[in-house]
Amino acid sequence: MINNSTSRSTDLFSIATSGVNASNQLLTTAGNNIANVNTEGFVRERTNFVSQLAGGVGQSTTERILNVFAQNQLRRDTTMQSEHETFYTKTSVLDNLFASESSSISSSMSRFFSAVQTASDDPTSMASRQSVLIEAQSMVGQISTVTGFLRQKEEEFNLELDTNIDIVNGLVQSISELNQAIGVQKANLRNDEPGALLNQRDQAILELASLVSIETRESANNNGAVMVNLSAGESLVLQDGSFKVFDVSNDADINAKSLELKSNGKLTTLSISETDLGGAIGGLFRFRDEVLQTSLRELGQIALAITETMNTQNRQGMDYDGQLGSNLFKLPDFIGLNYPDNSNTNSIVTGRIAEGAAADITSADYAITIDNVTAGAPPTLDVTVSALNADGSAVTDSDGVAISQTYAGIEAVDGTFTSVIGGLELEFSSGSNYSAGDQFLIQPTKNTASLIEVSIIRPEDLALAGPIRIDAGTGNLGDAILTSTHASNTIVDNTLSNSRVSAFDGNGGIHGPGDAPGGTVGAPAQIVFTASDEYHVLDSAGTIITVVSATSDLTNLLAQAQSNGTGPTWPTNFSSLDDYPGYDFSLQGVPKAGDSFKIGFNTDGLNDNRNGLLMSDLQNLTNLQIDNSGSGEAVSFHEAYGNIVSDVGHKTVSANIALQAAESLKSSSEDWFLSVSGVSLDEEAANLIRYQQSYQAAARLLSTAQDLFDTILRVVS
Amino acid sequence: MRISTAQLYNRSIQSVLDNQANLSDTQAQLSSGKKFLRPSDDPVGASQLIRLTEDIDLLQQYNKNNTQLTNSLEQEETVLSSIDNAVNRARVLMIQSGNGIINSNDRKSIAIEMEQIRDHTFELMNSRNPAGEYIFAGFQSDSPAFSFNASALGNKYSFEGDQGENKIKVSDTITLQANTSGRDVFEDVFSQYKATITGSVGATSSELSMQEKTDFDKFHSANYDAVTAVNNEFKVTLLSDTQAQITNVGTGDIIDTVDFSSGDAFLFNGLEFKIEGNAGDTIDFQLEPPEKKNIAETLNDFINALYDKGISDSDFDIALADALVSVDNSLSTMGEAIAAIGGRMNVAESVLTLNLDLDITHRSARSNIEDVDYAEAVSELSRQEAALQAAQATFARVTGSTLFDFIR
Repeated sequence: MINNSTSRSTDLFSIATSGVNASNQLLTTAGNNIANVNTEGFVRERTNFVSQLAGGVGQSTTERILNVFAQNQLRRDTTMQSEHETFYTKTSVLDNLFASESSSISSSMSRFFSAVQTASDDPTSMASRQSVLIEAQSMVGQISTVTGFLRQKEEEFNLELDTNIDIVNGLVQSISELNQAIGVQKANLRNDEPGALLNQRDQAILELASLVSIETRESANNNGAVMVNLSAGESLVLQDGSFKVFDVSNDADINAKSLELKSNGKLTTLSISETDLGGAIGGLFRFRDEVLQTSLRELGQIALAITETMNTQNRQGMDYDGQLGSNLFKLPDFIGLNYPDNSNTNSIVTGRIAEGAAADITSADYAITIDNVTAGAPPTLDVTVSALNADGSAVTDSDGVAISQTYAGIEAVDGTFTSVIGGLELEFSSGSNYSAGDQFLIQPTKNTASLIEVSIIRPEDLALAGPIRIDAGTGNLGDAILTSTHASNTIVDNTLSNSRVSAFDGNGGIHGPGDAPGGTVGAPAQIVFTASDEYHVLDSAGTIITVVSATSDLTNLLAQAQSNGTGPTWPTNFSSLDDYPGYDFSLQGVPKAGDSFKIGFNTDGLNDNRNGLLMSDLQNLTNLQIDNSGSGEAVSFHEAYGNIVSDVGHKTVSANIALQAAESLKSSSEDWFLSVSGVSLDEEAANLIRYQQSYQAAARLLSTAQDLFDTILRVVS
Repeated sequence: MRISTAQLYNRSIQSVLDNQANLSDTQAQLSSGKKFLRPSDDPVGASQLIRLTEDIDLLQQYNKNNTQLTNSLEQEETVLSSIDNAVNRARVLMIQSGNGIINSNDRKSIAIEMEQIRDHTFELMNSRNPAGEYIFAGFQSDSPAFSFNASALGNKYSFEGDQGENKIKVSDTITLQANTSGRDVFEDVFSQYKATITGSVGATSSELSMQEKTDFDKFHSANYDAVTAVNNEFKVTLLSDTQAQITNVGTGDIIDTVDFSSGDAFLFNGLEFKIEGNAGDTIDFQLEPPEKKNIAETLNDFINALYDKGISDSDFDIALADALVSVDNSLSTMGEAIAAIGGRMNVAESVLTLNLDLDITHRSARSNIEDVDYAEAVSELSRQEAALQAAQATFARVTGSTLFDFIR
């Protein structure tokens, strides 16, 4: 250090002038600080001086008071806070949706089942039947309203994503531009920092940090530039001044947006993992993948399962007109969505829920891959069907193996449905030009819940009665009584080409001899006991179908006949079908030889409510799979809905806790940052007085110099 | 620590905002009476609430079902009791008609009264519920349970319905039968079992009459074979002047060997045989197929006997005995049905009581989850109010003073 006290060469005037200038500079800095007290992102500045070797105060250096650690901490906490805030704000909208009782699907399901019970209590009352239809409509309407709301949220998500991506891209670009401007300014201003530009850039980086999680590095060139990259590693703002922007793209489902990075000017794209982005955008993606899409699909699953279950039960009954029941609800078909890479993006794959497959329905999406195409008329396909989660990842079973199934030799013909996993049936169109490697996405539960309709409009079509009636012979002497009848299959196909056919002829009767499979004996129409433990099963013409001897109990007499019947045995034409004849019954008590029980269609059975009771029992049926891996415990419809609600509740409450933690972290890092860099008016007030005084002193020094000079002049003159 | 001006404002306003948010939440709880405003307030409680509300709704539905069930059962009970009363009156009249000093005119007037009873009973057997459904017709409730055909060869009153049982669910596990089939209460009633002599070889005369009804009923129900008709045929063979043997024609089994004296009666399983003949003579008799008659049919048959002026005393006695047996069987079947209905009503009532208890339990559980504790909430409200006021007061104080005030 040079000791300049002995070699001072400057005169008092220069010293005084430099003092006045310095104080002026200090006052300017203080004034600038005061003026910018409310400027967002303003970092307080301080002007430093060095004393000059020759005396007087030297060149001023104005720089920002900044703690880089505090700034980085603030950025990280801002990222975290805005991620949790976005996630929480979005999730709590669903939380509020499920909170309101008026939109509660659970109460509309309860009302529907209550209406079914009331109708069963008095099966001949048209008013009670009508109320079942009204409640059915209200139930699907309710599900559709909530689903519609969730789908709106998906659209909102896409719009919000677009806006946020625009903002991010704008910020990335402006950071890159500010880097250049700062480089130029730094070159021009040797002593002062380009504070305003730096503040602008810091502000832009902070805003970017609130949208995505980023990290920054000072440029090694020492040109003041800052490089920005995503926390996951991908660079956004590069050293050479180039930058990358986000681009929104999508796969098969145009509403399932994903992100990729594009270099400016270069033709490279890079897919990124959206939920790991952090910040508001990461929060948005997490909300979409963890809450919105799963709720939407689980709701869709309930809707499909409850309607298909009711359909199946209604089909197994008999309506007020004495006809076999039909579907209560119309379930929509699902169109397979083409992946963009398909050879022909107009190929059509149609899916639908298989009849009676309610228990297999999951909330998964399904990807269908064409493995091989064998040309021909019709062409046959080998396909693989794999289950996907809402975020596109593979569903795995309890052992961690991805769930998928291969099907070979499927004919691509319109109207031919092949049943696959997940309770689905697929139809490959005959007009489509499939080629190996084509992929399709089927989303059974995402968009369908709002498309379910009540398909019956007449209250008479509600099949509350059972289709089968057992009449004990009038001359029966024993005390055997009927305990239960059971109809499991009512599929009508009098051409017998369908392997699922039942013995019902759809015309108010059951197959007689000649109509039943095999063409010889008819479907079981009577049981005659020849001893208390032996019975003949006869068809409607009285021909013996089979004889069961030494039976120990009288439950499911026809099932016993199928497995134990001898002389002749149960017809193979019957047993080769899936479920023929599709009905059975049980007795209790001791029959006597000669007792007979006639099995017939329940003609005119208007006051019968057996099927209605089975329908109302479905309320407590636990066959809904809430775990897509199929390994979980099945639950009832209400439980499944309760799960969605409490799931959303859990996610909201944990998001809220995370948000509060993030907020307090952010506020403490903000405290730290502001404590260092924020303007304190009181401090500036004190500085003002101090600089005013130093200004006055320097000015006084000038006048002293003037006085001295005058004194000399007076002496000289 | 250095405090910047922005920090001062941020801190002060944040505490005001936080307090306001808390206050507004408590206010919402108080005004709605629910501490449970959103599923996130208590995610586990949310799914419990759904289940509890479902259960409460179900219980209410079960109670409605119970009312419906009790109404139908009460109507059935009333109708069956009316029939029971009417049939008891008919029984009194029957016994009266068997009195030896009654002449044919008296029988006629009894017949006229019994006709009224028969028609009244028939009408009750075709009772309808308020919705116009025939309550004893089983599933086929839109057509009458019983029909009358005056020109029918066999039974003139016949059952047209079925044995369909309509059940009503009164709890998760209990379903109770709501209707009673006319087949079970009226139609499936056995009339007197009978045996008749079908032929004889050699014997001068043979008669058969019922003596011990219970003995014969036992024999008939044990031996009647509905499948092989020949097994119901029996042969009395006079072995000697003092002994007779009874064999089953179908199986050839020797059933019994009894003491016999020509022209005197002997008893075989409640049947009294009076045979005049010599050793080697045979008499054939058979067990008649059991007949089922409903009460209207029984009354009708007896009314015909009452109107029949040429009927012999013994034939009238047989008709009376048969009618009494049928009436008694009818009464006991109806009695069983009434008892069963009463039993179901008792179950329904106790299930209802249980359901009401459960309802209260569920409601209080639901209330525990979702209802606000007013005392707690009100004290919370005033605490938060005080905190907010403190925050607001300090805001003014902290931000109100600045060094600039002192620079003059």
